[in-house]
Amino acid sequence: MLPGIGPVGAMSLLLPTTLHVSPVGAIIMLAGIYYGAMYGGSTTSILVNIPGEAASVVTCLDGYQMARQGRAGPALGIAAFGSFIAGTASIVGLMLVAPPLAEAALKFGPPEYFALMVLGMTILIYLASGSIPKALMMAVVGIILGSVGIDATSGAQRFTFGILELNDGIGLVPLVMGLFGISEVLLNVEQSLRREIFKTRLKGLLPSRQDWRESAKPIARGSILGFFLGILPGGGALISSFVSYGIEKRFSKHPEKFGQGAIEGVAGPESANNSATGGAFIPLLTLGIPANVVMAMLLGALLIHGLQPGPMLMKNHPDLFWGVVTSMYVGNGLLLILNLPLIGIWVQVLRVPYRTLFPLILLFCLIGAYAVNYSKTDVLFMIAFGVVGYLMKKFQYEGAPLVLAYVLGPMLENALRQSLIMSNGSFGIFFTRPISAIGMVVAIFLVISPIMPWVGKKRPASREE
Amino acid sequence: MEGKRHFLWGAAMAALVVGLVAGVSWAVYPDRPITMIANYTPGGSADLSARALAKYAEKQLGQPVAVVNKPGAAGSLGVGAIAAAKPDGYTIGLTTYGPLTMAPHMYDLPYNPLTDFEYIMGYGKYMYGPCVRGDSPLKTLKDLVDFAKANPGKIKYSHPGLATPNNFGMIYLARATGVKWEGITFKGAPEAVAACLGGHVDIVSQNPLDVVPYIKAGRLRLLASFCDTRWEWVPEVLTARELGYNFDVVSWLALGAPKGTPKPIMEKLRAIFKAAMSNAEFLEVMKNMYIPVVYRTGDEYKKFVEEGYKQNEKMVLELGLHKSQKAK
Repeated sequence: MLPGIGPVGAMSLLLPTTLHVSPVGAIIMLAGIYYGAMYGGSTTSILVNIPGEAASVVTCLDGYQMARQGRAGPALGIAAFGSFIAGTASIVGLMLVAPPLAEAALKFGPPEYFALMVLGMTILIYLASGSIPKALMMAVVGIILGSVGIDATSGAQRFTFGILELNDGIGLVPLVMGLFGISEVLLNVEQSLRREIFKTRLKGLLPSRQDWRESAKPIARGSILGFFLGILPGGGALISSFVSYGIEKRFSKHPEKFGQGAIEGVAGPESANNSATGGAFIPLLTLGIPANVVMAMLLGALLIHGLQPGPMLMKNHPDLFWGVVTSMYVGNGLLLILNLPLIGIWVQVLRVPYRTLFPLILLFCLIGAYAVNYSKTDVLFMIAFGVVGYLMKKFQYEGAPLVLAYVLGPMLENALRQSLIMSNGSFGIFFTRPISAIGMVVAIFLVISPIMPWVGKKRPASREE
Repeated sequence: MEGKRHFLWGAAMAALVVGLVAGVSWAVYPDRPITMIANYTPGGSADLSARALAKYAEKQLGQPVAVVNKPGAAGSLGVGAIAAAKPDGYTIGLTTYGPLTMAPHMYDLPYNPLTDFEYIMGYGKYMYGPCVRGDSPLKTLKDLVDFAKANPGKIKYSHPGLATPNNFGMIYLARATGVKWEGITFKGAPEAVAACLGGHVDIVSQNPLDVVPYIKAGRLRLLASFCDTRWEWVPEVLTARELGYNFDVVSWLALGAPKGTPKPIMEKLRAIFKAAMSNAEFLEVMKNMYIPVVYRTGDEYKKFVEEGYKQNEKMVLELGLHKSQKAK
């Protein structure tokens, strides 16, 4: 719930305490923190425009706008329901098809990842609610920031300026907390007088029937998408939330509302990232392969208890597998039960005078940034990104494309270079393997298709200005 | 009020007397909590082994031993923090092999591995070796070498980083046999293993923790041990040396303290941590991590570091990763 102290932070704080409970209990507890934090991340995104963890960056786009319009309640509500539905769906998926799916995920080699990343990059276009050139500029900045650190393939130090801490790159948490959290505080301090609009009446606490109608399909699509992307190693939750946003904007009858408080923009990504958490368990429990940092920590917890992750885990410890599955059902239900009544209270947070709220937010951001690596450098970076983010907001540059490019850029580059080593330098590898070929074709189609309406509609509009 | 002041005076006098009698402060070592720096992230094998040792040692020392993680730059940041700490016995930590023998050649580091540390002990040995898929027609290391000779450039292997013993082992083997193969860097062990399981690379060069479960399940097959000993979990597989290739690679888990830590304190730490190694809980952790427990004294470990430092410098130079080779 605390911004920055996302799942990884919370879990590393609690990891030592798990030594004293049974293995199943420990895993269930850590898993509980995981989806608890995944859900909690959206609350701060919506209320104060500060993503609790990286996957909630997208939720800020429309969730915060909804809160500004006095619709914080429905936004939180749909996030809770969407998460619940998607979470439950992904558990059912986990139960039914875990082993074969895990095997299928192994088919994803570097070329397939490359195709997936290319597909992800095309979504950048949909993330921009304002100027496309500005979004592209931000994406380039994101790619540059993402390339900081030691290059895995050549071993070269890039943009590290001799600072050892930068060998591992710029941390995602300082980047996101700075760009979104600190900058938001700075901006609000400046405009504290204009914050009156926030105190407008709150129109209902729960999503209306109209909201439901608009959200049903995004939730369904988000659930399915998140589940499958979650299975793949490497940032499933984050990418699925971005991809879901892109898809919803593409399918929407009123894409212009995105970024202005469209409920679909909250429902889809929130469902996707919660569904991805379920999906992420599949490779861990069936193959012993952690799909992300959180899963790697769970792996560590298993090891502490002498449980051998890997192909034999499900056979030797069925109690663990079913324990996790059961706990996820219960956990999801509890999240809903806990969060729905709390919505009323969370919304009250908006009434807290900003002079009280902002030191608290700053404090949480500082703790969050420090807690990841116990590194002062991270804190300094977060503050620097806070200033950058503030300037970006002033000049209407958006942070979301930057974050997406920052995450995808290095993955794209790695996958490209790994693939080319595999193929001895031939680009044909992306088109001769079926899965990557499909991905590439879809990506090319996506790039071409929006150009038509963009050329057709936007140009005259800009001439009128 | 009056009583309290008397008490404080009394306490101060007592402390002074104790100090005079003891002569030097370390006679009462430790009189406050000790920090143990772990140079990797929480939950990893290095971290968990350090925590198990700390848990035992704090009972013997009578003071808490707090494990503080300082991960980053492949373990160099944590080791650097140990070197920079006050040498009073209250900061110790993991002084693993890689940041001492590999990283100093590649980056400008704020420590000198040969002069800045006192070593407590080496306590665990990382193992290395190449695996193929369980259904691969390559049954032995000889099959692999023959195939690679017949198909130059065809064999690809996955490893977790250029400057790792995992990669060095494959390079040494290629050199010993005259074959050519291409390494592909993956971000971590799980991805490197998955690439081999999925058939995207032919060989995965990883550690027992990452591959033994798959070997047991028949999904992977170990072709050789790159170390001076066989893997105890697959004892029938020979070492590269036994197979006639003249090399081995190694890496160590070790504890150390900043240079200048008083000798009596070092001796006390050495005795206590050596005893900690026979603690059942520690042994359990190491067993679960597939890391053989091997004791080496601080002096022995110092020698390993000095030898490894020289040996790895050659390799780092050949790979073009040496800091002197970097374009500025």
